[in-house]
Amino acid sequence: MSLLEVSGLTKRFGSRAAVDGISLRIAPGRCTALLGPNGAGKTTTLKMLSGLLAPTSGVVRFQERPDHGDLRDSIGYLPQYPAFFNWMSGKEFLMLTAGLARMSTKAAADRSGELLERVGLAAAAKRRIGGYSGGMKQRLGLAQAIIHSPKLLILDEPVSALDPQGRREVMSLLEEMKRETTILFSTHVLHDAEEISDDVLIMNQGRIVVEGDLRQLMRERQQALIRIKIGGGPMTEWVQSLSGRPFVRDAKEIAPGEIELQVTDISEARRALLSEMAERGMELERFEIGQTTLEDLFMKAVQA
Amino acid sequence: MKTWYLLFRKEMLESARNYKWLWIPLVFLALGIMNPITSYYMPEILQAGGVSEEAAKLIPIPTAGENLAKSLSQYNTLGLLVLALAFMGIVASERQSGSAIMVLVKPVSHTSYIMAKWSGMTVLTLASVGLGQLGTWYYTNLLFETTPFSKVALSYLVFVLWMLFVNSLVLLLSCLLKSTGGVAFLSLAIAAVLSLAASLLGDAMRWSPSRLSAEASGILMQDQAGSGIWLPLVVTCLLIAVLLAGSAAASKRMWTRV
Repeated sequence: MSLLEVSGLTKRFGSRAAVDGISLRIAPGRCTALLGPNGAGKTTTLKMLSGLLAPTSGVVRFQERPDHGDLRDSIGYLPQYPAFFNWMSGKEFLMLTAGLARMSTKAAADRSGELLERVGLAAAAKRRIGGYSGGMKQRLGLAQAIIHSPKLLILDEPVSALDPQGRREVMSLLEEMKRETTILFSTHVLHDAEEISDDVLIMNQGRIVVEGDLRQLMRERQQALIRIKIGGGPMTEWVQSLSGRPFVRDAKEIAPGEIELQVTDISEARRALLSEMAERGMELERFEIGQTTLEDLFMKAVQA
Repeated sequence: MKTWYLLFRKEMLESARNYKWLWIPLVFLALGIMNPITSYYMPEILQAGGVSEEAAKLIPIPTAGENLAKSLSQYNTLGLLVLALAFMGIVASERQSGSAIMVLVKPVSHTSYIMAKWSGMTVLTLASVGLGQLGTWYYTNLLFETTPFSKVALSYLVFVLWMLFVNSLVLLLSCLLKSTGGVAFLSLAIAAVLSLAASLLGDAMRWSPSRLSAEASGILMQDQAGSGIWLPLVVTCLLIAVLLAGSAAASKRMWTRV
C-alpha cells in the first residue's frame, strides 16, 4: 500500500525536460530522502507533488484522493527558501496558515500555540518575523508545514542553508515528526540523508537513477574499501599492476601516494598487499579498511 | 468565503502595518483640502507674488461645484499615481519574494486570493477618496457656498468607480508582470490613453470608463446626472469583472505553468 504514487511525471521548460518521466511510490510512515546534484530536478519534482506546479504530463495519485483533486489538503510543504510576511508575528502567521487550511479559529489558536512551543519559538511568538534568524524562520516554516497534520510532509532542502546549530535543531525536529507522518525531503547533504531517512531516491538529469530502502541499498552495494598512504611520491605503476589482481575490483590513486582500492575479499587483500609492500620496502604511512559510503554510491549513480 | 475573509484581513493588517492606511488617506485629504483653500486665497496669493490688485481681482472666483469638481480632477492625476505606486507590487512583490507560496500551498483558490487583494485595494481607495472629498466639501461649504451632501455623495460614487477600474487594471498587470515599475507605468499609460481618447474622440468613446470622471464633475456643476451616465457605468462594472477574472486566471497560470 502506498501513500503517494507517481507515474510518468514530466515537466518541460521549453525543450528542456527538468523532470523526465519519473515514477515513484512513497509508503506511509517512511522517511524518504530525495538526493541529487544541483539541477537534477529535485525542487521541480517536489513542487509538482505539492500541487504548486502543473506537470507537463504524468499522474500524481494520492491514496485517499483517487480523483486527484486538490492535494494541498493532505500535504504540508516547506519551500527551499521560505519567505514570510515579515510584518507579521510568528503567532499571527501560524494562525493565518491554520485558517487557510480550514481549521476553526479555536483549533487554529490551540495548534499554533502548541507548535510554537514545540519548535522552540514560544518566546518569540509575538515578535515580528522580520527579526527572526535563519534557523528560527526555518523552524517556523516547519511549523506551518505540519499545522494541519498533513499525511505527507514535503520539505525542500530543509537544512542546507543553516549553520551547524540550526541544522541540528531542525534535524531533531524532523526525527520527531518522522514518528507522526510520512516525510519526503530533498537534500544535497548526504550525511543528513543517512542520518534520518528510511528510503532514498537519487535523481540525476531529471531521472531517478537509484531508489530503495537505504539500509538494503547500502548492504547490496556496499563494498570493502582499502585506503593506503605511502610516503615517497607517486605509485602509478604499482597501482596499475594492482588492477590486475583477482581480489581487486577497482584501484585508483586519488592523490600522489594515496591509493583507494575496492576489493572483494578483505582478508586476502590485506595479507597480499601488506606482504607485497614489505617485500618492496615501501614506506607505509597509513593502512585503512572501511566500507563504501552513501557518498560513493551517490557519486557512482550520478556520474554513470 | 472564509479563506477570502482571512486573506482580506491579512491585506488590511498589512496595509496598516506598512502605513498605507496612514499616508494614502493623508495624501487624498491634502489634495482635497488644498484646492478650495488655494482658490479662496488666490487673489491674496497673487498679490503677494507681485501681481497688482486690479489684475488679481480679474481672476474669476470658482463656484462651489467647480471647486468640488476640481478636487476630483486632482485625484484623477496625482491620486491615480499614488494608488498605482501603492498597489503596483500587490501580487508581483509577493511572487518575487516567494511569500505567496506560503499562502498558495494551502488549499486556497486563486479566486479567493485575487478577490481578497481587490477588496483590500477597494476599501482603502473608497476611504481615501471619500476622506479627500469630505475635506473638500467641508472647506467649500465654509469658504464658498453650501452644496447638498447627496450631490457630493453621488458624484463620489460615480468617480470612485473609475478609480476602482484603474485598481483592477493594476491588479491584473501585477499578476502578469514581474517588474513593479512596469505595472505602475503601464496602468497609468492605459488610464491616460483612455482619458485622452474620451476627450478627443467624444461620442465614439462614450462607453469608456474614463467618461465617469467627466460625468462625476457634471453632477457637481449641473443639478443632476447626465443621461449618458448609464453606458459607462455598466461598461465599467463589466470591465472590472473581466479584469478580476483575468487576474485570477493569470495568477493561476503564473503559478502552475511557469
